[in-house]
Amino acid sequence: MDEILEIVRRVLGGDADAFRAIVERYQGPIWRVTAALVGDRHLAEDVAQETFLEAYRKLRTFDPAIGRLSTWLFAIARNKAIDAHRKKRASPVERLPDRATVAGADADLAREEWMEALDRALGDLPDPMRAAFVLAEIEGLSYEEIARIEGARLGTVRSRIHRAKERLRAALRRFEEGEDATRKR
Amino acid sequence: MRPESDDGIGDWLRRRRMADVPEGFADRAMDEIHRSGAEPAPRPPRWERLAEAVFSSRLARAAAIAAAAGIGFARILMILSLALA
Repeated sequence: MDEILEIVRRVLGGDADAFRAIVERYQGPIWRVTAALVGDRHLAEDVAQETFLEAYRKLRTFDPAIGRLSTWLFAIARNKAIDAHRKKRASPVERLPDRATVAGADADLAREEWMEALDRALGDLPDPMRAAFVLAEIEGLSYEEIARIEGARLGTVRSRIHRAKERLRAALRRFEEGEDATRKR
Repeated sequence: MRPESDDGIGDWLRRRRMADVPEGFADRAMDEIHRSGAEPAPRPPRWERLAEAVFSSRLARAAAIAAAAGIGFARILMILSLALA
């Protein structure tokens, strides 16, 4: 933490290049959260870049007495990703798969479809539920930290994550039933 | 076809947790920062931060709305009393 505060001090003192250390340290977590929240690699990269740009601009408002730099960055990323996801929903574009599927490999293809069904189900969750689930289950943040990011009570966060899991499992069941029905035909 | 996993969503979560950052991301992010010509904004004055903290609370907002509604109601009463006088 002291090392991070030293970097923040250097950036605020005019050493813009020192900010690279912050980008390099947090790019992984920020990327994973934005990618899961927007469900599109290209859009996620834009959102992650905008997150760091805004963090740089607003760095002086970061208060280490209130919370960690990572919590502050997650809050910026969360808001930007939710805005981007709303705009995407308003003008849908074709989804890009995360990885290319191997042509002819039926098992791989089925697995990809199954993964994509979960991605779609995640994208369909209400914003606060999706954000809480992603921060907890993909990034492994504590419920307390998520409550700070979401500006919500601990019980609310717990309930959102629980309901998100239920909805994802229900979506899976629907997908499997649909898949079974297709196979029986 | 559901992959072998603990509760059905485990494999999907594991893949999401291992998602790699696109190559060269940090370079592009820093280029964007330099290109934007942005500077870290100066810290807002103390009174501004205090006002923001006060008005960001739900209670303060509710009190402000109630006060505004009260003033509005008082104005209507005043206009009515002047009209009826």
